[in-house]
Amino acid sequence: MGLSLSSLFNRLFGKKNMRILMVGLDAAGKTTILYKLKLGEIVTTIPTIGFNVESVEYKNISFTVWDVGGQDKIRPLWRHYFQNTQGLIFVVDSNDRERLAESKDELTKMLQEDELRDALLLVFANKQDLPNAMSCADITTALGLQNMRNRKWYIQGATATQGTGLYEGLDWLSSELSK
Amino acid sequence: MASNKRKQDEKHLKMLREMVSLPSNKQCFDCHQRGPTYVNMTIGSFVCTSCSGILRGLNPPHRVKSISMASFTPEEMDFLKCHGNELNRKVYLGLYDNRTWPEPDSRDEQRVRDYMVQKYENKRWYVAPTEAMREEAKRTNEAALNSKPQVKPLRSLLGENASKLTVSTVQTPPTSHAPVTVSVPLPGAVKPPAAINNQHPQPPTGKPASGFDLLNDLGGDPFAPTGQTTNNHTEGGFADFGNFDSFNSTAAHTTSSAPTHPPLPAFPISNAPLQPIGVGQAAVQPTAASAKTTAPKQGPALGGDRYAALADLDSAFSAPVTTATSINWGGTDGGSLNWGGTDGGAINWGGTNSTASTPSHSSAGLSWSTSAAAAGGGAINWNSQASSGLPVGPTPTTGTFGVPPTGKPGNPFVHSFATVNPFGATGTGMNAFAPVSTVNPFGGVSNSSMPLGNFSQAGGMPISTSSGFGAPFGTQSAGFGAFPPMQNGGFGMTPTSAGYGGSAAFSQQQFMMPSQQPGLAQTSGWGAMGQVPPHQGIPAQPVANPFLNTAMHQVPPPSGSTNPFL
Repeated sequence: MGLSLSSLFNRLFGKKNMRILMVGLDAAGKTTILYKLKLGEIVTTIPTIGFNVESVEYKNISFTVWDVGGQDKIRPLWRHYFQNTQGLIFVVDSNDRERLAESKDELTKMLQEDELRDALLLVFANKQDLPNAMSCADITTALGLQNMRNRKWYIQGATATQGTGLYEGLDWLSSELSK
Repeated sequence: MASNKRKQDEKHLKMLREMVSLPSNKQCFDCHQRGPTYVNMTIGSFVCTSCSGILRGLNPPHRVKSISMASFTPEEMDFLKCHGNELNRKVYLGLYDNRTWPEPDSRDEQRVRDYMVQKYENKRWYVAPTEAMREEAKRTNEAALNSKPQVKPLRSLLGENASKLTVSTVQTPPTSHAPVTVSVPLPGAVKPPAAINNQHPQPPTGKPASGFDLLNDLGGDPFAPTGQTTNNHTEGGFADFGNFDSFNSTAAHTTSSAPTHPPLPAFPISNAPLQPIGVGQAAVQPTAASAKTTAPKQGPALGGDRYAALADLDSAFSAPVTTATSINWGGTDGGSLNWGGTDGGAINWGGTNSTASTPSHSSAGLSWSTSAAAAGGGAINWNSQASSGLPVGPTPTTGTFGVPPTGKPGNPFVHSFATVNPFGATGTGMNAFAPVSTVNPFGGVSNSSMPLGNFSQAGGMPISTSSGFGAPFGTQSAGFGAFPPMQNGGFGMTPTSAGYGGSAAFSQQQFMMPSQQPGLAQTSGWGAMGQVPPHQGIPAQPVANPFLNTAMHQVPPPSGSTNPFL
């Protein structure tokens, strides 16, 4: 009885979809993250011109992840992907201290957009495996995350090439989604 | 403030383009693919897209920036000026001996990666740069940058005699128009088109850089079949174009077995046919070997910024001035827009130049029209040129489209026209191109909309047996995107805003907005095509088409009533 109830429940409320936009500066590792999630392996990427999109199933949620190129002249295109975005994954190269301020500017600018007012913010502090990587705490400070009001955010250290941290990030997204 | 930045960006972009056109920077520093599109800001070299991807994955990662999609600070520009591929060759390949570690084929990614690990991570061949080397690099770069001539106004290019270039409306039998001899001073590149030249013994103009560089720039006839050597005239006409980066690399590919005709790429394997016109975003991936072999054969360096549209016009227009007497811009019924002046099949969209029976020298059919380029206000306007030629094609005497589809492997258009009815709506069958046909299947179709169709068909052609125009477009691999190695950008990419539109249509990664799903043939196909910046003109006004006269002779006037593209 319990089993059939739960299957009924699943049929009614079973799979959820979540539209995710993944952005960040160029060479932060967005495409690598996307394909690590999708394929479970590391692909050789080239700088993304345009976007990649994949759907990733995790915990009965279908994440549709849009990975948009991050070179500076094509960043203005990000906003075209904002609509209906429920979760924003912002990828930071933890090793790139010089451009952290640039990252912050882009993030701040983006979060002011009305279309993203309800979006969850997940920050991947990527490339944690490199010796000189900044910690999540440092990056939190540098991005000014703690000052954000009215925004659900979460920062997750990650190493895309090893897959560490990625699913933890998705865990947070899914738990927030089901709230 | 913002405009200052934009100005600076433009200036830097121009400088980068000039730098990347220096001989040592013309090839990817790591795999020798022609036409670098990225700079390695860690060491200051110019690399291709795929190597830029590998460089990002090195340990420690190198920082790469796209030439067209990143902005550069003045410091970065100075850094690049002081470096470049030549200096880096001395540094990172200072001890290099290609017998112990042969340079990898650019298509073999794993080997390229291993090679780059040796080169950068292990610094196996590293020699510490000296100040003198830097000085020299800077001197060379700056000298090269400063010596670039400015783009001149058209008037100065055409001189007072420019009237010769006006489109002729006189009808002349096609056979009476011998082609202008295109002289391209490429060593060993060409057999002179002997027989036909006798009619009009125009001496080769022999201007190395400014003679007829438009075709040079195009690097050869992208549509000419490879290795079809039965027709000397055809070959002679086409073998001349040597100077084009992306084209050449392809040419080297396809004709490596026939070194005397290097620039005869077959269109389907032409990796990035239009790129050079726009940006030089070369997505081509020739083999390292082939690229190397052709490199030294390239014609003299262009005098100007090869990417400046006007520079192309410059060269294009200057040639006709010298040889203008027999240029037949489209007034003929026979329909040879023979502006390449080559005989027997200039740019032979119909792809018939495989036949020795190509009836006459003037049957060349389509040619690349510089005047169209002028009308288009920029780079070569493929549309216009094609539109002029297409209606011309079906006449049996021209032989352009008239030759039955023989399915020669090197000739994409045979297939194209044989198996595909690009405009189903017109109700005319594919065999409209057969010699007996007097019906122009494109009659109802906008002239200007045709050529894109052709291009796209060509792209997908070699393997395409699909029908309908939309179908090939609708897939991601359609049209220009079909060139297999082409990854980013390509064709339509231009440095400025136009760039993204181009990539939408022609690259694997699309720029369509998320709400649009690719795959709808009509929308993504033509819609995307419409964005292609340098080749815009799907909706071009027929009136503006200097070749319309030609069209009118052969074709019912484009009513456009059934034409969805008008």
